[in-house]
Amino acid sequence: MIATVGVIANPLAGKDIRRLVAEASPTSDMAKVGIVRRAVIGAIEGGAKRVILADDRRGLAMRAIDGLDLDAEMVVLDEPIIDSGHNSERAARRCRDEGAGAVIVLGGDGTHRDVVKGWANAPLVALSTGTNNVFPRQIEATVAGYAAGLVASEQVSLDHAANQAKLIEVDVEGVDKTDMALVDVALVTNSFTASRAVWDASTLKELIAAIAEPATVGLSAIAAAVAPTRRYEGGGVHVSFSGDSPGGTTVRSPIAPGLYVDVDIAKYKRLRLNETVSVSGPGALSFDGERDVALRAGQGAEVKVTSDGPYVIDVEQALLVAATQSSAVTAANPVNTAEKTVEIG
Amino acid sequence: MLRIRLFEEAAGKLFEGNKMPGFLHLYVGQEAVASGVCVAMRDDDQVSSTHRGHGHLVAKGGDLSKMMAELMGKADGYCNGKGGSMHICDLDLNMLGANGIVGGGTPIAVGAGFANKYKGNDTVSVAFFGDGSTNIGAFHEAINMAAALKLPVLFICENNEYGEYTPRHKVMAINDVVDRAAGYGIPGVIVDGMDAIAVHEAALEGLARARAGDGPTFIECKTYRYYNHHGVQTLGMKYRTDEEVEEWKKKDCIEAFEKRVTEAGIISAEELAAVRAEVEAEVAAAVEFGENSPMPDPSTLLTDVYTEMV
Repeated sequence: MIATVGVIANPLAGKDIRRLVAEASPTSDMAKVGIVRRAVIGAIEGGAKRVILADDRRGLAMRAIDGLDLDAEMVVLDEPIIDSGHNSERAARRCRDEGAGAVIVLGGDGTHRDVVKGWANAPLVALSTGTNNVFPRQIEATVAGYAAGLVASEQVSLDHAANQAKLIEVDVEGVDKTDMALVDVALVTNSFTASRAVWDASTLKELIAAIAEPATVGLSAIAAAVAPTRRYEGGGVHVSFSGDSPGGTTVRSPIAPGLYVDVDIAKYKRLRLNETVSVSGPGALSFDGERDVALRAGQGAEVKVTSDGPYVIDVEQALLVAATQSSAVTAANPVNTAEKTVEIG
Repeated sequence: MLRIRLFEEAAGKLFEGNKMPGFLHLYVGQEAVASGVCVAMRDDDQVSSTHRGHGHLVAKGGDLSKMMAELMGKADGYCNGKGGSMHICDLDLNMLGANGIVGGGTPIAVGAGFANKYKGNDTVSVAFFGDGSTNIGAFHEAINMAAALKLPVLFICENNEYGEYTPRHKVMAINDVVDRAAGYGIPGVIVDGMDAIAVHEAALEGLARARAGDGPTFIECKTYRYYNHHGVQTLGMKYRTDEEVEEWKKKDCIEAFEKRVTEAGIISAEELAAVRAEVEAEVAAAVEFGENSPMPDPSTLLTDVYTEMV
C-alpha cells in the first residue's frame, strides 16, 4: 500500500457565534491555508507518497498546495459546497477507502467529531483551528504533518505513536444510526439547534463527559471541576444540573473561550466504561459543544462512554520514536526506545 | 418566511406571464436571513437593501399589495410605480430602500448609523448585502468608516455563493467573506443562513452590541438562491449544477422550521396550514390589487423626481 496521508480541513471551523457570545478568536482561511501547506510539506518529508486533500470546491486545499514542488501524488477530493459537517464525514470515509495510514484534521471538537462519524477508528493527527479545542492539540503543523508521514509510511507504528481515544455513543430513540461525540454530550432546554454552540449555562440539564480535564475550555470544564477525568483514563462523568431548584453545588467554569460562568450542579457521578445513562426530551442534544439533535418531549436517548474511539497520533511521541530509531543506527551510544508517555486506562 | 416565499413565487408567475416589467431578482431560498434578522430588530431600526430586496421589505412589515403594485409599475405601488423591484422603499417602516447598484446600499446604512450616533439615539441600522458586493470599493469605505467610528451598524452578508452568474471563488481568494471583518477590526461570525433561528440568535447579539455602543458586527449567512440571478429559471444553468441546487433545497429554511416547530410541539400542523392559507389569501389579494391598479398618469412623470422644479 502506498504511504498515504489524508488532510481534512474544515473551512468553517473557528468562525461561529462564540466570537460574539464569548471571546473566541476567528481562524481565517489564510491561517488554515498556511497550516495545511506546512502539514503537507511535513507529511511528505515524513515519508508520505500520496496526499489526499478534502476540498469543497472553494479551493482552500488547492490554494494550500499551490506552487509547491512536491515529490508525492496529490489527490484532491472534490466535494459539493453544502456547508455542513457532512463534508468532513464524507472526506473521512474517502480517506479510509483510499487506504490512508494517517489523517491530519484541522478543526475544533466539532470537526473531529464529524471525521470520526465517517471513520470511527481513524488514525488522526488532531490540529486545533476551532473554538474550544479540547480534543485537538495546538502543535506546529510542520512536525504534525511529519508525524503523519512517519505513521503512514510505517516507519513508526501506530502502536508506538498513538493512543486510542474514548468515544461517547448516543442512541436516540427512533433513530437507527448511533450518534457519537469525542468530548461531551449535553442535554439543553433549547428546542432549536440553531447556531449550535452552547453558551447559556442555565439551559443545561444533563452532561456526560468522556474528557474532563481542568485545563480545557468548554462544557467538559464543568465536569472537570467536580470529577477530573483524563482523556486516556477509563470511564467518564455524568453531571445533572439544578436548573431552578435550590441545593447542590455551584462551580465556576470556562464554558467557552474567555467565558467563565457560575453553574449549579445538582449531582454528579463517575461513569464506568460502557455504563449507560438515559436522558429524555424535550430539549436538544449537544455533541462536543454544538446542539445537533432536537429531542421531542419524552423522546429518550441512551448515552455511554466507550473505549472505541479513533487512534490519536501523539506527534511528539512519533517524532521521538523516529529520532531514537534513527540515532540507534547512526550513533555510537543509542538511546533507549521511548516508552509511550501515557497509557490508556 | 412564508410571506416572502409566496409573495416571490407569485411575482415570478406574473413575470413569466409578461405582467411585470423590468428585472426580477427573486429572494426565494434566502428567506431565513431577512426573517431571522428583521424579527430581532426594533421598529425604529433601519434597513438598507439590495437588488434582491423584496424579502427585506416583507420581513420589515411591508404591505404586500403596495409591493406587488410597485413591482408591476402601477400607480398604487409604494413609489407610485417609479421605483419598481430594485428601488422599492418604505421610509415609514425605516426601510431605506432597495438598491440597483451592487454594494450601493451599504454606505446608506453606514450614513444612517452615523446619524444615529450623532443624534445620540440607540437606533441600529442594518445593511443587507451579498458576497459579490464586498468586492466593491464603496463597501470597503463604508465598513471601514463604521468600524473606525464604532457606528451602530449590523452588517448582514447574504453569501449565496454567486455574484450574478459568477461563482464566488472565481472573484475572491478567500472562502468566507467574514474573514474580511478582522481586517476592519470588527467581530465577525458565520451562521447557517438556511436556519432562521440561527440567524436570529446571531442578529440579537449583533444588535445588542451596536445598541450598547460596542460598534459594528459582521454576520455572514451561508445561504442560496433557488432561482437564477434574474428571472424564474432554477435548473439547467451553465454556472452551477442542478445537483448543487437540489442539495441546497434539502436544507430549505421553511421546511426545516416547520418540521422543528411541529416536532417541538410549539405549533400544530393544523395551525401551520391555517397560516399558509392566510398568507396565500393575502398574496392573492396583493396580485389582484396590483393588476387592478392603473398605470401612472404621464402627467406624474416628474413628480417626486426633483425636490423643486426649476
